[in-house]
Amino acid sequence: MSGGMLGWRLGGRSLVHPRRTHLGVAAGAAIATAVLVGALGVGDSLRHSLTEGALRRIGEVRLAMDTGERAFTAALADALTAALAAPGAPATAALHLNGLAIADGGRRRAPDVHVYGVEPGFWSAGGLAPRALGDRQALVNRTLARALGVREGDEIVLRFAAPSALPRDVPLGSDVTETRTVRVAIERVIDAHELGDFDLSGDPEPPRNVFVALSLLERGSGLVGRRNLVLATAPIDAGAAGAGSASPPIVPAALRASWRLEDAGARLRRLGPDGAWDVTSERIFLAEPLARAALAAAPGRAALTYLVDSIESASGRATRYGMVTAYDPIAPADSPPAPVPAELAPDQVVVTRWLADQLGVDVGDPLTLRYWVFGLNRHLTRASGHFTVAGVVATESKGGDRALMPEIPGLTDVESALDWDPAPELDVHPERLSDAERTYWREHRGAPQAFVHRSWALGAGGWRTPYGDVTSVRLDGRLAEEALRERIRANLEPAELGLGFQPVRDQALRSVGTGVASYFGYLFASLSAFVILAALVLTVLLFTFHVEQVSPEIGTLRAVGIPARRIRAWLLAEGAVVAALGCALGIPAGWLYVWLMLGALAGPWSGAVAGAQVAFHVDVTTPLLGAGVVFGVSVLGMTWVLSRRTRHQPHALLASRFGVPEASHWSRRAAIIATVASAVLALALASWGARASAELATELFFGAGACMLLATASAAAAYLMPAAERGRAMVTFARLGHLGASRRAGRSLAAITMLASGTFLVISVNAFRLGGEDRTAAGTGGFALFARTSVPVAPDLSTPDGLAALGLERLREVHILGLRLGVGDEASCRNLARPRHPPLLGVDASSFAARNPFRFAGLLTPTASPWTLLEGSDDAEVIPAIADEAVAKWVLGLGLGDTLEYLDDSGRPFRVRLVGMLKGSILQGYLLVDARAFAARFPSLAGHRVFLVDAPSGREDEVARALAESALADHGLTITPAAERLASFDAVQNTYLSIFTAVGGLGLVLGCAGLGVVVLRNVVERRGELAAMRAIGFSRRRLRRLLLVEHGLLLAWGVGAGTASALVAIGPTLAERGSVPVALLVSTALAVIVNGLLWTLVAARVALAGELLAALRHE
Amino acid sequence: MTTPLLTLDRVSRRYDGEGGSQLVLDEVSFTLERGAAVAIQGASGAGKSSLLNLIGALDRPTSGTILLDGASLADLDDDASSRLRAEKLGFVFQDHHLLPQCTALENVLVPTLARARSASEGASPAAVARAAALLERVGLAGHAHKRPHQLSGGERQRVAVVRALINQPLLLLADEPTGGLDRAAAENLVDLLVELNRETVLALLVVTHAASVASRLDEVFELFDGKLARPGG
Repeated sequence: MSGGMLGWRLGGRSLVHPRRTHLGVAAGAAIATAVLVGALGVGDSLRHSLTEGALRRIGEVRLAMDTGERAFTAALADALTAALAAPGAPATAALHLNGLAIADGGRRRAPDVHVYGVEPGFWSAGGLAPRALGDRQALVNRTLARALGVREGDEIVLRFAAPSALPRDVPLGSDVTETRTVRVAIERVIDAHELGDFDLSGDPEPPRNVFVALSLLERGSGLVGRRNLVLATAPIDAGAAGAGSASPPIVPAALRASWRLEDAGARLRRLGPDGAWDVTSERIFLAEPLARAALAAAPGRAALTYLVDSIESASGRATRYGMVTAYDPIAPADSPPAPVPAELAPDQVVVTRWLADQLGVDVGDPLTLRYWVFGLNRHLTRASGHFTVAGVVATESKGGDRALMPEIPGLTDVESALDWDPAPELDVHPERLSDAERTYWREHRGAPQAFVHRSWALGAGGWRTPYGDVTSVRLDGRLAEEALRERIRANLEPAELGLGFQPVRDQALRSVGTGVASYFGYLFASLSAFVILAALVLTVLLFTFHVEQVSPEIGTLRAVGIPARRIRAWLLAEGAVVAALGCALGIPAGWLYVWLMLGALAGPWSGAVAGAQVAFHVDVTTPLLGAGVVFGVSVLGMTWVLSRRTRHQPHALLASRFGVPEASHWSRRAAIIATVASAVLALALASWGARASAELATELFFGAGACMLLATASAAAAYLMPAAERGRAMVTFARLGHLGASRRAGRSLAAITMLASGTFLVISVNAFRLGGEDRTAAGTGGFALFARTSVPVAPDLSTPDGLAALGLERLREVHILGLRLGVGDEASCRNLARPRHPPLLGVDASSFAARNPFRFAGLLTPTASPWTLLEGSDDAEVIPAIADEAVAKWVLGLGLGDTLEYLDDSGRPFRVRLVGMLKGSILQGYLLVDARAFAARFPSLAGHRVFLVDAPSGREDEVARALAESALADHGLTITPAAERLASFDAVQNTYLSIFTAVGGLGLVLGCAGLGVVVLRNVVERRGELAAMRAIGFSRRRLRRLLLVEHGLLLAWGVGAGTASALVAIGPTLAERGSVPVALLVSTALAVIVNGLLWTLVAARVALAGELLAALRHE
Repeated sequence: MTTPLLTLDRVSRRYDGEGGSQLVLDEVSFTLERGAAVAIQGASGAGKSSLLNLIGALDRPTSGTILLDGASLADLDDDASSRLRAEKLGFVFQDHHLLPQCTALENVLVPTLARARSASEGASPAAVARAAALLERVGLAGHAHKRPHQLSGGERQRVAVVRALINQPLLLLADEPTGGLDRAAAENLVDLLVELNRETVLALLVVTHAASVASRLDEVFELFDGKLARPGG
């Protein structure tokens, strides 16, 4: 028989008659595989479920054009759906409004409801058959039905903001908070697979949807002939589709060819036969790209017509509520005429004959204009301009006509000045008008009474608004209408007006593919790393014991001339087969682990996945990866063990006895030096961490922890190299234990390190558990309530007038800060997909700076007044932003100074730069920017939708009730106590910590079990000595005590080292809190010690229970 | 007339195993006077070690009584028998069973810990002095701080003997003490045991195969077929 065959037969016999150590090796590999496969499998399941969910939400839609408040014409929608449809891939258009649903006579309300007005073909986007909805019929999704407690046949009322062409921030319209309602009967409650959860946003929560007939919503909203949503299901060229956070919209040829000025809210009219062309906007102010395109299309000039409060002469005579137009006095040749001379200076004014007569002024006389400057939140500031009359022109002269006055509901659509119904903020009182003024209105309507230089109007304190500075563009009238339209269109990109498609399917997949869900498996695996490591250490440790057990056999084989190399190969093959069997067993155990974990994620740990429903799904490659990694690491460990264990001389192997060499002076000194150096480094890193930015602090925490673990491990190594007590006989029970522990220093050090790492992780991780009064005060910013509405609220609730507008006068002593809310996906840590557009939140930086709420984790530019950082930017294209630290770092992957690209209302890109990070706050989920910068880029998103309420202490409930019962209820108000909102965010992190603790605890149990195995092995190895000690007078009890002392020392070292490392690493956190979590420290240490002692005791009892006497004979 | 140090009265030991019950010692009766030196011989498996274990209170007889220094071993629980071994008995084994992590001196002092009241209580100065003296007596004064792997087989066994003597026992039980030693070392060890026996009141009970060892002691018994008798008796 050849040596090889003998070897394989020996190995085979080992497997057929497995030793207990083989079972242990297989069990260790199986546990490690199960945990790794399980962790990765949980990630697979989550990713798969989120992907499925995302695709279920968008159906088969690949491209979507969602213009929000800026509806376009049905004609464009028809052209687009016809052009984008393909055989088997339909396209459809819809109206999509946000609002609230009311049931049961107003007793039940559901905010944040998406109302879709759809055509029968809409359902094809979900791969369903076309379905026509009756005029008053509605389909509601399961989430909304549950929220409202309604079912088929029930009636509900849908309330939404009346779409306003006027910017809500401009207090010109008569009733800006107007909402509209539609009453419908529920035909059916539909599920997600019926497109019930249709949603283009990436919000993690299932949407509340209601679908009604398009015609009904058109009528109900006043948007007849309008659409704001086009969906296409045909595949698109992936190369043309960006899927980044703010990729430029896709403009298909059909859109480029079909859009008209009316789709951008623009109007083109001729001012009388053969007169000039007049380009205006239904939104009063022309968007800058539109004004620019119009002026580039033909010779012309821009006008800005403004309502002034009064025009006064030096003698004190005045007229009220007149229009004044700002013109560029110099214009290209062939521009329409304007009643201003080319030499008009900025401080000069041209007046109409009527005004000159009314005021008694003439050329050269001084004149004062008093007017309101539009601020944010419908704030008006009085201002005035002082001029000298440069000329007098005829009333309603060419270029001074009544068409210059923008169409303002409540002003331009009434016959008599007495019927004016302006916004209350304007403080206009028609009854105060003089007869002459009323006559003027009757005869000339809003024809300007005076003309000023446009440069003055655009200067400081002038009439520039965030929404534009052109109310009309007058163009040369010689051009034919179609030619002019074509020229203007040619000068405009549809995307500049907010017209363009987004590759929503690709974005959804990318969002899931790059968010937390994409690496959740690896996150879970890293949380489980300790338990995997413990199982692997156990595997290798048990294999070591096996090799030690068969040392005499190895010695025999070596003695008969078989090379060590070959013996190693046999043993490695044997170990590999055992490990492979263990790994194979670990795979089904891993599936079971996934199943159990999904059960926990659906229950107590649901916070970690934001309550997402996660179905079992394990990729084919996952078990192979998990088992492969564990097998590979096990075999590597075995190779290492064999290289160390088979190098001894045959006689030593035969005797199965290796000396206990005394550690050299140098190795002990080296260990001490390593201890001191690592400890100093750990302390330095920890103290640096106390001052470092939040991003760096995390790395420094791990660095300090790792260094301190190294320091304590080095100290333990030094401890396990006891010096002989020369000249002294120091033999005591404790020293005997110490010497016993140092006998197998490597084994003892492994046990100490495992216990220390586990203790370190459990303690330090739990020290980050969020909560506590101090944290709540910082995280809520001192605000008691966080409120949000579905429909923007125009009045500024921080002012008495704003409160009065909503009937909330009794809340005068309550401070309510309104914030502007942009469109976007929730960017809190509850969103497991990467948000495409985290919503911007426009905050009044100056009032925040005055109050200085919340605590900062890091600032780009250190300052005592961090909120002022929002106000300044060196670059017009970049606006500063502040975000919650957790969101910035973990959800968005942003650091201080990083930027994120957005598109404004006009489709123009701009960047948002992170200048500050808040410590966990109730504003998690948003990027905070200055409200002015917000308003300038998103004029269509005026009004407030988020409110921070500072209620007097003890009156929080009363204030919440008052708000809930006010007119805000019709805006879809939801109120959450700020502390509760903060706790809901904290719950995510705390859930992760719970998982970490549980998995880390499991690892600690394994580590303690490993300690038990070490005890068993130590006892078995020393049975002879222990029997001899029995013979020389040690009772069993005393021997057990000796073993407890010996292994208790390892436990104490492990727990002590882990605790010390944790304390150093979390030092900065503790210093900030000002307290040490004594209970946590004590309970964790006690749990580990009790657990470890239990294992030690059991192992000692088992080992000493047998008959020791046989061991007294020669072994 | 003084009480015998050790009396065995019709002591039997039966072992129950898979192959059925086996009577290893059959009504053995034997008396050992203080300071006596006795060898017990017998074939492998004759029950020599079983007899030693019974005398050392490491095992209990199936029947019969054993009196050590006038006290019956049958009445002792684990703690009391441990105390008895610590105070009145010394053991030397074929394998020295020294603790490899301890020095020779520490090994010698280990038995003193069997009576320590706390983990920090060490050997008394008197015990340390006695250990040093004993090591010197056996010629190992210069090896007190060496570990077992740094000593030869004979030296290790001499340390084991010193360890057995540290608590000044009345009876030294030796189970094949020269089994693992070469001839010279074996002779040295026997010389030492005999000298110690003669110099003190220490009684010796040595289980051995070696006739050369047995012949150096006062009396020789043979264990055969479960019975203890004088050779040829």
